[in-house]
Parts: sequence; C-alpha cells; structure tokens
Amino acid sequence: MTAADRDDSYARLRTEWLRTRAQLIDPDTSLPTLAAVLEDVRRLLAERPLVAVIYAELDSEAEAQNGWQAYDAAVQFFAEALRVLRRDGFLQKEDPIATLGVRSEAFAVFTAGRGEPLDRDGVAKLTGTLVTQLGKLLEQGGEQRLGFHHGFALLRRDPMLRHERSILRAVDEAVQMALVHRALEENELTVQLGQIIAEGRIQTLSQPVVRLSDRGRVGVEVFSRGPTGSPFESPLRLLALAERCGRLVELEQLFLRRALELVGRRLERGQKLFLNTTAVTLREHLPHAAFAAQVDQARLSRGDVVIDVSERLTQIPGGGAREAVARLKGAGFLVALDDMGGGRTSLQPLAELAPDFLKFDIALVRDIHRSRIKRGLLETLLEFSGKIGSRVVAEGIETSAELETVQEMGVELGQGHHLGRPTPVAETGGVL
Amino acid sequence: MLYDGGAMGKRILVVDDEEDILHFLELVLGDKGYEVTTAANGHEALARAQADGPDLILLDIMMPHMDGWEVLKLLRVDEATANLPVAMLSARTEAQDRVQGLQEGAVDYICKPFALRDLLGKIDSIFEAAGATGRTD
Repeated sequence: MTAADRDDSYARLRTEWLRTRAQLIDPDTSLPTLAAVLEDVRRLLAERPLVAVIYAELDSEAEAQNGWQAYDAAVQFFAEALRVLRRDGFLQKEDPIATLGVRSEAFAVFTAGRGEPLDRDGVAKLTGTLVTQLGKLLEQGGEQRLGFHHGFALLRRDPMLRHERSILRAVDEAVQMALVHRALEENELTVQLGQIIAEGRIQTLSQPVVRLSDRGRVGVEVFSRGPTGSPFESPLRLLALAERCGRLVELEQLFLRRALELVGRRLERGQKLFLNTTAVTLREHLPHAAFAAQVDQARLSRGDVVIDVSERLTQIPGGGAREAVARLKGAGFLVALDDMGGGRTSLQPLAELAPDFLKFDIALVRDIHRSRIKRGLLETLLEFSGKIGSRVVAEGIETSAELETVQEMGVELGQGHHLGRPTPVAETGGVL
Repeated sequence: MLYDGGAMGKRILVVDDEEDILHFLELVLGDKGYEVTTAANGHEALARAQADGPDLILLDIMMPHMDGWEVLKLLRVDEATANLPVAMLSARTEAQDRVQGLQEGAVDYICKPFALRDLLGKIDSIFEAAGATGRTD
C-alpha cells in the first residue's frame, strides 16, 4: 500500500465515520439517539434488574406556529432541561438520556433509581417527580409555553429475549402511554371546544398592516383565538382540535362572522381587512354566497377584503386551494399568499395563482440584517412579486434593524410587533 | 504579484464534480490572490476540509453519490470543520434550496451560471463579514 493509498483509505474511513455519526448523534442537542444508547442501557440492565424508561415528547404544534428555528431552540432547551435534571440528582450520573432520532422532539431517559429496585409504583412516582421538575424548568427558561406529553414503562432483564428488542419494546410501551394521555386530554378538550363554539367565547384581535415609507395604516389583519388562559388560547391548537373533531368550518365561520362584525364595520374606506383561513374553509365556505353576503352586509367592499392563504395550502395536490383562489378572485375578493419563503417556496405555481399580496414569512424576516442568504431569498421573491404584480408585506418585523433592512430592500408593507402588536378588538369603540 | 490585501493568505476550497468548473475557478480565484484547493466529490471535500483548513468552501449541490447537502451536514457534524463558512453553488434556482441552505447552515447561495464579478463580490463580503463580526452568517 502506497502512502497515497493509505491516505485515501483513511479519508474514506473518516467519511464513513462522519456519515454514521451524523445519524447517531443529534447535532443540535448533542444527545445520542436511541440506537446509540442501546449498549449503555444493556449495561445498566446488567447491573440492576429493573430499569425505568421515561419518555417525553414536545407538542409539535409549536413548530407549525413559530417556525422551525424557534422550534429547534425549544428542542435544545428541553434537552438541556433533561441534562439539568440529571445534574441535580433527579437521575443518576450515568443514566442515559437519548433523543429518538436526529432532530427529533422526543426523548427517552433510562434509570434504575438510586437505592431499592424499582417497581411500577416507584416508576410512576419517579416519572411524576421528573415531569414536575421539567415543568418548573420550562417555566423559568422558555419564552413560549412548551407543552409536552410523557409516558413510562418498566424494563426487566429477561434472558429469553434479545436485550435490544426488549429495550425498544419498552420505549414503545412508554410512547403508547403518552399517546393515551394525549387521547384522554383530547376528549376533555373536545367537550370544552363544543362549549366554546356554542357560546361564541372566542377572542378577536387585530394587527395593523403598515406602509413602511410613512407608517400609514393600509389595513389590519384579524386573528382569532380561544379564551385567555385556556388551552385554546393558541389559535393553532384550537384549529387543530376543531379539525380533529370535524368542527373546523363551524369554528372558522364563527371567527369570520365576528371579524366582519367587530372589525369590518370600523375600517376606514380603502383600508384592507386581512382574514386568515384554513384549507377546508377556503374550499368549502369562502367561495360561497353566504360568505359574500356577510361581507356585503358588513358594508365592506369586496375589493377591500383580502383572504390570507398560506402558501403551504396551495402546494397540496388535489387540495382545491387554487380553484378556490380563482373563485374568490372571480367574486371580487383579494387574495394574499401567506408564509412565503418560510418553507417550501415554489415560484412557478405562484405565477398561476397571481395573488394580490405576498406576505413574507416571519422566519425569513427574523435577523435578516445578519443573514446574506435571507436577503438573497428576499431579493428573489421581491423581483418575482414585481413581475406578477403582487404587493409585498413583510411579516413579523420585531426590531428596527429588521425594519430598516426590509425597507431598504424595497418592501412596501410591513406587519409585526415593532409596527403594532395584535390587540383585542373591543366590543364597542371607534375607528381602528 | 500585486498586493491584494483582502485575498492575501485566504484559502478557498472549491468542490464540484465538473472538472471544467474546478479548473476555471482555480485559475480566476488564484489570480485574485486566493490560495485554491479543489475536490471533485464529497468524500474528497471532507478530507481536504480537514487537512487544508480552508477559510471558505464553495460547494456544488448536484454531485453524484454524496450531494452538497450531505457534505454540508457532515462538515457541520465534525468539530474541526463545523464553523467553516460554506457557500452553495447550484444551477437550481428554486427558493426551496435557499431555504434548505438556511436550515443546514450555509452562508450564501450562488446560482450557476454566475458572473465572475458577482462571485468575487460575494466572496469578498463573506470574508468581510466573517472578519468583522467573527460570525459567518
């Protein structure tokens, strides 16, 4: 073997090692994946006859709501919290903490406890303690409320079974328990949702959409959510549950009625009302006469009503979003394509849809002054919007640096905490 | 060679499965005063990145066997190369790829065919940004 061959062999080995490592260790949390801790758990099981598997899984709605970057941070925070529990003695020093897979939001912790061998009650109690402590850590640290579900199982040393499979089955059992918890919670929430819809106990908020050049108000976007302090305060959660119960359109009809009543009547002439919608409602409710009649009754011009359609919806094949958009435009409404540049932006369908507004995703705007690649993406989208004649709104502007950057780049309109926070619309009151 | 303060001592690793691109960039970037090394596939790229310690990697996306995304991921996994600025090169213009660049930690995204002046300008500002803030985003 020549020196060059040796170098090449080494380089190939190293590449293979990196590839394997990339699958076994999560780069963001530096935690090993389940596959990588099987040996550690086997060793633990060899010393102690009973090992507890405790499983925790973050609620994934937060990713859809706040974007993958914020969710990455939440997952890292959660992983850190688990490490803190171990450091502070709630777990033993050598107890394995694993993520279920690279970039997963689910984790498994293995422990045999400190003294006495664990039994089922012991594991239940231990899990309860860990969950309470985790809750405290999350409250102290996180900016947003991190919800999570948990489960546990007892792993027993059994010479009849392969240890790897025993471990995986125990993890599976713990996952199943978490699913059951979720389902029970869901039932309870379903009942509450029914009451909220029946009693109309939703909140309507509005946020200004502003012309960047002179901060003039061009319109407002309306958001709806459930009662403050309830599990339904998060709009995504509320909508997700309503969808699972088959009451999504009903809920959104309530949102839209309230938005038109409270906000629609108080807009100045020419100001636009931006309304949000989901795929189902877009298809089944908005293009129909009933909605148009409500708009007319609220004495709004249809050309002042903008339906915000998330770009994601238009990419579902056979989803009917494009047809619905065409019908809405045919009826005289305006359409905005929302969440642009935040995920899977595809330029070609955009030209077919010909939206009146393009709204750029909050994740694109975040720290745009520090990211060349984001500015490049925004430049491309701006150029494209010019070509198809769409007006542009940058969403989620939270700092003056972000504002200056997008303004300099030629963005016409903006929305975000820096320009005006979403505020509850009062039952009575003057012009917005 | 004329003194070119900006380029002096800066090492660039160019990764592309097309030999023409490698030769071309080796020539023009070398002319500008950069020290250029090349790799024709992902596995060579990883080896070069570790051995040569480049200051910037220009990484083609569409390569057989291991594409630019996987190479970027593996660069980020290895502590030795985790913080190297990497700019993706690609003939694809889908915005989706730019977003993926963001997610995987690329510092810029350069479309092929590129005007040489634009490429040099981007390289300049990447180095400037890295120097000024110590960050590479």
